[in-house]
Amino acid sequence: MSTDRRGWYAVSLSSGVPPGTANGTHLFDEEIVVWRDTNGAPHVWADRCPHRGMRLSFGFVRSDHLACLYHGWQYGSDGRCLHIPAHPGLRPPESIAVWRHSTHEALGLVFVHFGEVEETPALPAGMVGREFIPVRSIHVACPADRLADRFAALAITSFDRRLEGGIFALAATQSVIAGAVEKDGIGETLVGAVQPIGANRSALHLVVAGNGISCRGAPQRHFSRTIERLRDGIESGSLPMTGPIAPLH
Amino acid sequence: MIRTTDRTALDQWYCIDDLDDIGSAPRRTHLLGQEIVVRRDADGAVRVNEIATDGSVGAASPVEKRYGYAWTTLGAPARDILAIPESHEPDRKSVKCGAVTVHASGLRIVENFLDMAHFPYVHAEILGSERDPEVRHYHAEIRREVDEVWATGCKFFQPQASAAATGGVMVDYAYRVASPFVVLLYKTCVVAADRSDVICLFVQPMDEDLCRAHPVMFLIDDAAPQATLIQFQQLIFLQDRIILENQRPRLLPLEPRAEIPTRADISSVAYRRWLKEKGLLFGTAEGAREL
Amino acid sequence: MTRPSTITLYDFEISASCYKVRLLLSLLGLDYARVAVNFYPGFEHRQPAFREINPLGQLLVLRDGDLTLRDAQAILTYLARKYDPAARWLPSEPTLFGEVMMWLFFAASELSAATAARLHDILAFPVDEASAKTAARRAFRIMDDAMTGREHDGVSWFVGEAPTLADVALFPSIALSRDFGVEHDEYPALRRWMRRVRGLDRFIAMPGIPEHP
Repeated sequence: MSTDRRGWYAVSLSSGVPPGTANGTHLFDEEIVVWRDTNGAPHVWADRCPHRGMRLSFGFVRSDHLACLYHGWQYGSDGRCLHIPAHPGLRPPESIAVWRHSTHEALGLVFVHFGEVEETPALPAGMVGREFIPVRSIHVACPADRLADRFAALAITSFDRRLEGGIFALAATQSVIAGAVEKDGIGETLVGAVQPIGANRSALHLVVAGNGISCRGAPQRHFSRTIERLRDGIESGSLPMTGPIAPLH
Repeated sequence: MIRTTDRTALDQWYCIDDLDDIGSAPRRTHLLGQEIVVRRDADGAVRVNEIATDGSVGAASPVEKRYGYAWTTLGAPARDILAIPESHEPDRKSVKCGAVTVHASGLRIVENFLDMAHFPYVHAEILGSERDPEVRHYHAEIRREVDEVWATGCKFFQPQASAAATGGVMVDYAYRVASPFVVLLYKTCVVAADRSDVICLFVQPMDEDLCRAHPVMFLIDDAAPQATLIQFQQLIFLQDRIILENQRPRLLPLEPRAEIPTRADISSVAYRRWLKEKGLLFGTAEGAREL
Repeated sequence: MTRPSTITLYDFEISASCYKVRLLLSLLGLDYARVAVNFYPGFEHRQPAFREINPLGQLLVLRDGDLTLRDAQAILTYLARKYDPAARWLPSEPTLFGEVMMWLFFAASELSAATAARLHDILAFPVDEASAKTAARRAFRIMDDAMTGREHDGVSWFVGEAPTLADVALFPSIALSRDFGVEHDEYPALRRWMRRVRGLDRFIAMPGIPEHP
């Protein structure tokens, strides 16, 4: 695999995968399942049951295991098969296991590592201990690097006041962009993480770091609507593909 | 689509259309990647022709009419279309349920038809229940004398075994794979306990990962209206379809270690081994072309 | 379900429109008789006998006593008005009423492409597949953007603060989108909302909408 894909990528908002739920998504065209057990731990696995290849994202979560929709095979949080309903008395062999990806949760986002495992990602300074409010996840029909670049250009011109902070990478490709937004004296940091889904499809996962109460409602809607205009502008071709973007609000 | 070169696949008979739907207007479809056209000529005879890459009508293909369907082949089958003696019994009701398109390998479709372990999950509270999900021992074999795969001695508790069922019963099943894309089952008839209802699935592989499945049933005369019988079968098949379209890889792996079977899967193990012995490539992961 | 039933639904098991009505009938706790119509492979809905019931030759018809109604959205509003005296599903308050009607008409017009795409993919109905899927995706995106805004406003349903006919009318097309190859990943707000709909008391599913044991 080409080395410039290795790294940590956001694949969901934390709030996008509540406890007891499982969602399917893609990373570089690979199908993955993002699920959270009822203890609150997130997991990202290959979206494929080793029995007959059924996508686990169609399955159901019961307490700390994920069951496949086809035959109900149950997998524990370590990926190993715990129970095969067709053979209730059988202890499944240890070899029956789902391929697991390294997962890390921070900034109100669920990250997965693509490629050989590395240490947990080093987060940008000033992020530790802050509260992160979800804005939205939005899909755009364009490659990830263009989405990252256009989002960074947007952040510079479209959000109130000056942009502080900058763009930091958790991978060789830009995957997380942070912009500090001064709004009425309350400092908010808008964080956008780009997920490369396929060759011409990517997602932007947006959170706001700041005071919990002030960030909900109007600020969420404001950022969300602005990002919708970014999406629509990229897809329609009405936004320039490089260089500055005029403010979108 | 590109016509396959897999001789094993080409040298079979395939169900391609309901005879009741074929009129003088040409109907286009695909078989094994080959575009074909089906119609009735002025004498009412069913004609099947290949469509050449330039769109012109090409060579004629043989046509047989069996079980209410038109069958054709693009090759030279060694054997006739399967025999279903039960279909000729005078008190049998023939129920054609309408073709359903499935974005999956036809081999996955046949294998799903053979499977019982999914009853409590995919057909919950109809063909099975999570309260009793165990698949008890049954027998599966390749019957060399007829070159078919059979599973017998299958039993499953079913809350609603058929459209007419009014309570749970223990159902006996036998499964028969007559050719790689033709499968049928025999299940305890609710109305006449000493006889079996026959449910067939004739799979028309249009391409390696795209099929039309033609389901037809031969039931002991049942008081239920035709529409009710059809819709029960359609409900069951659509519950399977969402599974079939979401298995990965879409094409069936024949290598034993690619997927993990258990004792409940011995019919599928026999089926995959039989397909491998035949040298079938079309619809298999091993034979995949760049799709 | 103790009311004696006067309702008959002319029904096709795997139809998304019929499911929409079956869903509301269940949510309202209503008993009814189902008459199976051989929509496919029989095309019974186009036959003269059925045209006596619905001159449009379209499947979905509901009878209640002497009343015969066609059209999914009309049937939903009738059932809500007749059998939900508390007016939860079809609010009387003008603003809420207007918003519910807006989404009902959206379901009738913008989501018809989703119905067509599904019939193409399952039953090979002649449909311009590419344009139907593009139109369906566009409609789903509008729904997801709207539900995203609703969540930011702190509410969980399309109209008001409780489920209404808007949620019932919008649910089947997106819930069944995998039947025609459209995944849910692009619509995360709808994904959360669909879970809420599936959690409603007396919710029923249909094939294509996985029901978890």
